[in-house]
Amino acid sequence: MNTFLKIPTLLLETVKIDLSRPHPFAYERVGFLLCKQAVTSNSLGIFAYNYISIPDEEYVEDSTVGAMIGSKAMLRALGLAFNDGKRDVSIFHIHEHFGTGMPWFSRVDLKESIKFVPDFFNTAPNVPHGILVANEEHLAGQIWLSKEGAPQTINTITSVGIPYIISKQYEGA
Amino acid sequence: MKERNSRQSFLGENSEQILEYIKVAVVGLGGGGSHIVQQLAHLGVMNFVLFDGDTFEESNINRLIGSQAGDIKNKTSKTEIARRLVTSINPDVKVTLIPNDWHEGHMELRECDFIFTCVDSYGERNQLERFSRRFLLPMIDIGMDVYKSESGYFISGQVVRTLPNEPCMWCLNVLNEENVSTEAQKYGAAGGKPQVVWSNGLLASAAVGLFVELVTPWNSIEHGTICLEYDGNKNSLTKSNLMSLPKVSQKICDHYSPLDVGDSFFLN
Repeated sequence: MNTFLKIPTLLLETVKIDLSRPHPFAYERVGFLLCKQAVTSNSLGIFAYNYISIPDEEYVEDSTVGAMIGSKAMLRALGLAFNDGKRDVSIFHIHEHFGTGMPWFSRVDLKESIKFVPDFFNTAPNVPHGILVANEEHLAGQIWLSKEGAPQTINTITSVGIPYIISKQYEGA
Repeated sequence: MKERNSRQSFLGENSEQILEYIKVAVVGLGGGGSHIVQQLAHLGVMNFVLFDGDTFEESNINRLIGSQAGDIKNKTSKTEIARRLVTSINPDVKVTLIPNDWHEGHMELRECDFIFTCVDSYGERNQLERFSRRFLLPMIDIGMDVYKSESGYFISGQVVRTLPNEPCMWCLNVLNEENVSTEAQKYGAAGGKPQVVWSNGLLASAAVGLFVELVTPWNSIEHGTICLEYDGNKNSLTKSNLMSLPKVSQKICDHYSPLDVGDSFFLN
């Protein structure tokens, strides 16, 4: 299935400012984007509308990864996925890489995401969830359509605003 | 960069790719919309979703770009005229035609990246802007009118670009309770719904300019939401005084919540 994700540029800027802050011990920061969904004639659309920053104290020291968050932060994300007051919310874990051009996930990113993204379906089983990586220019992402299914690359991610950025990724990239 | 785009290389090294990726919807393919699709095809846009439920009539030929005399007899649909126009400029473009009211093609519209609205009524503008907010679509709206006063005819118009999370057409007072509820347009004063090719072309060109400056980073831009006003009697197109309204200048919109995006319920 063709998939796309849209995020208002103002929201993406908020995310990037948060993720670029140094942490006392973690090498990088992570956060969660809250998103809603829409089906179209040929695609599945994901629309980001809010960002959840992780407080310093909710990171866990782990030298094998750039950033590890504790159960409290994860439970908070799961709670948000369960109910934003109206309906199920898609959760997208996001972190940042340095550089330009199209970013992609490290092996560790992909290995770890397979462990935690399916947990989002425990509280919000009917909506897709995923992971995103941003760099100075673009965004890339993977999306899980079900708990058991394999993740697939998000075909197009658009930052809607000024600057207006389209990040297009082909399957298998 | 392809030779065909070499004269617009200043739009940026990625501009060709961006224009190939982006899927543009044009709602309304009359005097304004037909100019817009023509310019977008020349520009290098490759993906079009075109909406119009009308067929061609003799009274359209004064302004509908791409129309031919034979279209009167054949009652050609306006979507087909637009398809013929853009594919004659670039045979490789992908065109989806919705020869119907845009509501009938809302599933196609929601997967577009950008929407041009060239519609007659304030009510439709209102609905389309609400739609564009829900599906995070930048929108450019054009409108023109000819009206009569004691001293003669006046041509006026506006081009409005609004972006999600920025001031909307309600903030700009382009839409308000009066014109949405009463459709208080003074059509008829100059004969039917008066439209002329030169002012439509001017407004369409401005709209395409606002599109290009947003999607290809050739120019630093200050405002996402912008309103330009056309005075056909003074031959001027200027930034509207509505831009200095407090909420517009502060870039605040309290008509649409950023939370109201996507479907109201999701069926996977």
